[in-house]
Amino acid sequence: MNAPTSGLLAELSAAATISPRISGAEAIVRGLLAEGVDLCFGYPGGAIMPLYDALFGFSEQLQHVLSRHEQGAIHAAQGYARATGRVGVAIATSGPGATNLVTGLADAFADSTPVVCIVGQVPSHLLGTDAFQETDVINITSPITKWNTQVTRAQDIPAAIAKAFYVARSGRPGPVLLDITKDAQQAFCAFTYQPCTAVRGHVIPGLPSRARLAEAAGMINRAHRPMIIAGQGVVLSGGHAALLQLAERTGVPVAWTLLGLDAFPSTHPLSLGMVGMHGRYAPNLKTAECDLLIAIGMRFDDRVTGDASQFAKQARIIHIERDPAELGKIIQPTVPLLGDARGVLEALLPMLEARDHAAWRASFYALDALEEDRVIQRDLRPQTGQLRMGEVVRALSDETAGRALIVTDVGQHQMAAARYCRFEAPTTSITSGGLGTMGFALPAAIGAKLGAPERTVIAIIGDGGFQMNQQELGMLLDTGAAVKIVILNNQFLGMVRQWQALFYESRYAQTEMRNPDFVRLAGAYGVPGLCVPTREDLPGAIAAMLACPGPFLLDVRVEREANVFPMVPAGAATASMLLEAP
Amino acid sequence: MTTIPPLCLSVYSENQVGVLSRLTAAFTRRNINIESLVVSSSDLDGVHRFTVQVCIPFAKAQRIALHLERQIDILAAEVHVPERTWIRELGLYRLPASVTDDPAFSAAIAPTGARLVHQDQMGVLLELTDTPAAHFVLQQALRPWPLLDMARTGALALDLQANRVRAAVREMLVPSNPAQFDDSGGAAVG
Repeated sequence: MNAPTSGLLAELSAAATISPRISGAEAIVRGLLAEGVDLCFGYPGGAIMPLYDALFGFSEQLQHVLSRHEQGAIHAAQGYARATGRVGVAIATSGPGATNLVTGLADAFADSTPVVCIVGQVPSHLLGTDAFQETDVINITSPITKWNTQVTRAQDIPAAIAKAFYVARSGRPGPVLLDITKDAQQAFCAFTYQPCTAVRGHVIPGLPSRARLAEAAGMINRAHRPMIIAGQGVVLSGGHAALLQLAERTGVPVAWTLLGLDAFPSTHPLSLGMVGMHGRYAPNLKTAECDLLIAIGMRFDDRVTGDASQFAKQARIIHIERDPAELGKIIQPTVPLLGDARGVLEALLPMLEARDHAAWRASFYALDALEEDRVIQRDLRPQTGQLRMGEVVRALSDETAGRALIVTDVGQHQMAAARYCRFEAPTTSITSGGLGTMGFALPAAIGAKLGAPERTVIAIIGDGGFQMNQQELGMLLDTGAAVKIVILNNQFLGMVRQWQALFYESRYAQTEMRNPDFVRLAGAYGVPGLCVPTREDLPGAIAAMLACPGPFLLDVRVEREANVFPMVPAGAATASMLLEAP
Repeated sequence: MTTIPPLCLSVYSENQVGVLSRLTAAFTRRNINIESLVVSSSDLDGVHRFTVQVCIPFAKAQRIALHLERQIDILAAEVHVPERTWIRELGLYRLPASVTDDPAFSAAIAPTGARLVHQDQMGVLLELTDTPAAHFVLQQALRPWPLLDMARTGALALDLQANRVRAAVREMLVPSNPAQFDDSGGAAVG
């Protein structure tokens, strides 16, 4: 995470001494620079004009990328944050500008993404008067921000910026919103910047007690049928190596959640695949057989547990989690270990004995073979018919050796990518998990690519989700960011259609999409593209896309009414997972 | 009509704009009605104390307390165990001046513990500091006479035993080192 840069801070402080009074707007910019921000996303408007005017004077130090809608700005900031581990920044004006950030804030809150949003507000003397473009953004965003505050005085801006960045990045990360009135931006203040290093009441957990750790280690050492479920806490804490070491020493196989896709190498012999509604068959069923479940940095989301009362009820459970509110929220752990996943794993390692669990691991193979026969063969190696999503994402994954940064939207294509892409290294997956925000992937991929320009960034999107934020092709037009866009186009809102097919007697209410020509649409924004109508066209199209130095779009026509299986019916126990439609 | 007896949470917070909104949102999102809510400064420097009375199961209230402690400007939250909690609420009751001419009035309020604290030609003012149940008894006793106005503070709650949460809030005023093993044995969850 980006911590304040001390050199720059000293330079800025020195500058402030020379010119002690600056505008509140300039104080915002200097605060951002002091926090190490060199890239932000946003959209100007009346109440935030002083800040944009100040940004104009700092364009060499702080790049601003103009989104075409504020939702695009915050998703780009989220993508940037998750690709870089730094705090993403989004800027918007008051009223509709601020409310357009709401979906992104909720998404960042659900997925623990550190972003700081700065929004303008009407002048303080107009607060509460229903002035033009005034909304009560503090109350609107309170339930979906880790912290928010309104600033009405220029002199309060530096401390608010410092606290915002500290809160966003510390503990369980999350979004913060600063609502800054126009008069506060215009007024003058003395600028001194003190980075925030603690907020009383925001207690960062250290490590559990040695006794508690020893108790957990003893359970792991004595277990006969243990399994791990790794979540985003591993990713956020940088605990990949510790998890790998723990798994290899103890022989405990590792499954993961949707947000933990890149917590563990997909092709490692101990890897089990994703658990949850559309996860792998074997680990879902085995949650009902294991004698020890080690849940690391995950929150027992209902998409993972299905019927929580039936989930792993025979198992003893170790839950490693940095947010105390998550411990016991859904599943009561036998041993809760409060702390950062990496720190706890590293503390556990010296206490663990070398084990193999070969027989237990072999018991997964029969279920894997069943899934291979009934589902995977059909998804990855269909002999006839149109392209299937699975074979497209596997081809993308193979061509990039599982090391590209895959950004997905929400729906069938997301589940196909989660199942069939290989994630061999940290930071190879970004998706909207908790909130499930269609329209997330395109702007998030742009933010990710701008934050990590050395990476190959591929946005895999459905035709419905693409059209929710397709205007953000404008950011590609402006920046030339080499994002590779792959639309898996089935001309349906595929996942909703799947549920209609399975649970609503195939009454396809408003799920069929009449789509524009995506290649021509991208071309209008200067993004070259290809339509991929058949299986034979796919390899050449992927090669052309990856060879292109700039952004590129593939419109891949996939089977229209394919369903994603296996599937745990909503609210059912994971052990009742279906390999095909009943 | 609720059948779950009320219980009280004490929530300690920074004195900041917006804390109340975040606090009430924790109940609103779970469709829980707040029966009473009291807020004032506490004896701890810069710390405000909310007392929230709700009719929900104890375990659910404990989950909400953990959720509240996740809020940045909320320092700590606790659910009071009813058996060891002292709950009081202040109520003011205004009636017409003529009630004092009725001998039955004095007889009716005497067992309730209400005090007559003000009297003039505009009316009389009764004050009662007692449990919510005692206020209910008083209101029933006053039924024969016209009640012109009434205001109650809502429940205030104090734990009769040593208060772990207060001690935790005190400790927050001192910077801590987070990169240590918690061998204190006092950790509730970790």
